[in-house]
Amino acid sequence: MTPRRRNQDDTMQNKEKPLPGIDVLNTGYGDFELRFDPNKPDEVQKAKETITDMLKRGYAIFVRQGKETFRVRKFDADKNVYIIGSTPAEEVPIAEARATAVGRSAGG
Amino acid sequence: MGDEEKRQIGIDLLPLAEASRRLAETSFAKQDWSGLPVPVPGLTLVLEPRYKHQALSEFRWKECYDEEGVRHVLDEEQPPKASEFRRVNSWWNAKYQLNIVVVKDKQGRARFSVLVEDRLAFTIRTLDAAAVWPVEAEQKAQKKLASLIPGDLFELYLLTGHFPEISKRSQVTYLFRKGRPTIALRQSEEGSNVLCALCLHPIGYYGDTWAGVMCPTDEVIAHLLMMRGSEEKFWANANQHPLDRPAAGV
Repeated sequence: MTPRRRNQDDTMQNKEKPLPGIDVLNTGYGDFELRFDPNKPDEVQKAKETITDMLKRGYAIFVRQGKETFRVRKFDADKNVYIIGSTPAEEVPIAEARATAVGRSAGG
Repeated sequence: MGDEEKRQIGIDLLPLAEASRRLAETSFAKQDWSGLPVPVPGLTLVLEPRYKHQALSEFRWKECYDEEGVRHVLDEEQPPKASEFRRVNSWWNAKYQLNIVVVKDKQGRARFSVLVEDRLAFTIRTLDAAAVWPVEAEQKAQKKLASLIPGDLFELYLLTGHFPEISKRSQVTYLFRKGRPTIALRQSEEGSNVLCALCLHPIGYYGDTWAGVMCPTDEVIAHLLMMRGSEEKFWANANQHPLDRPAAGV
């Protein structure tokens, strides 16, 4: 499998910095975008409740840090960070992440 | 007849894809973030065992309407009769491309039968399932995928429906495919060693098809993120099909 010749870093990303939040893979919409403004406490509170609820319901949440993708292990609602490992360095602030959530999955 | 005259296409009568979109809209308010799977006439809806709306898999459509708004009654599926045989073993015979099933009757006498898995039937049933995927959902999912992979690979995906990525952890090459299971293989100087096809669907899928309840590119995104972020869970949760099985979709 030979990759097509093109600049490898040339991803088709939106160049404007979007608001943080979660894209949830969704049957009717492809992905449903939940955005929040980190400067609005009520929106941050709603985002925290949503993240907590999703993890409780077994959703797999993925965040990118640098070029790596990590699965969120836990969510620290006091510090507003996703925990992706066991050290403090392995925390991703929700205000800096655009996460993707996937519902519980079944082998087919 | 009076009731039928009142029903309007696009308002009272919706295509399955539109029903899917509207159900997703209403379910979102109830914190069903992923939307709701829509049953398809004639297909078995298989849901993740812990999914909360398990009753949907028992749902059966009783009627449908054609493009002119004319009502058609759907035959009710008869529940399977209790068999006098008990399945004791089964295996895939690669040479003859069929399943051998060994059963025993009440007296303990063993018999065998064969079950043929038909690739064309898989394909046709998958086309039936496609009725529930809103085109806009697939387009949105493709936009999302474009933000996750390099541009050249996304172009490859648009052109062929496939793109490869090598795991940084295991060095396994994954061939992600639109509407088909992901193929895992090891590449070396000697050549490629195909491991299996990994079949995994968020929320659920339609039995004996390659179709999940989400649009095909959403499933590709799910596979890609699981491979990148939790490769061991990807393997643990997916069904691993040998490549010669119709379910592998090769």
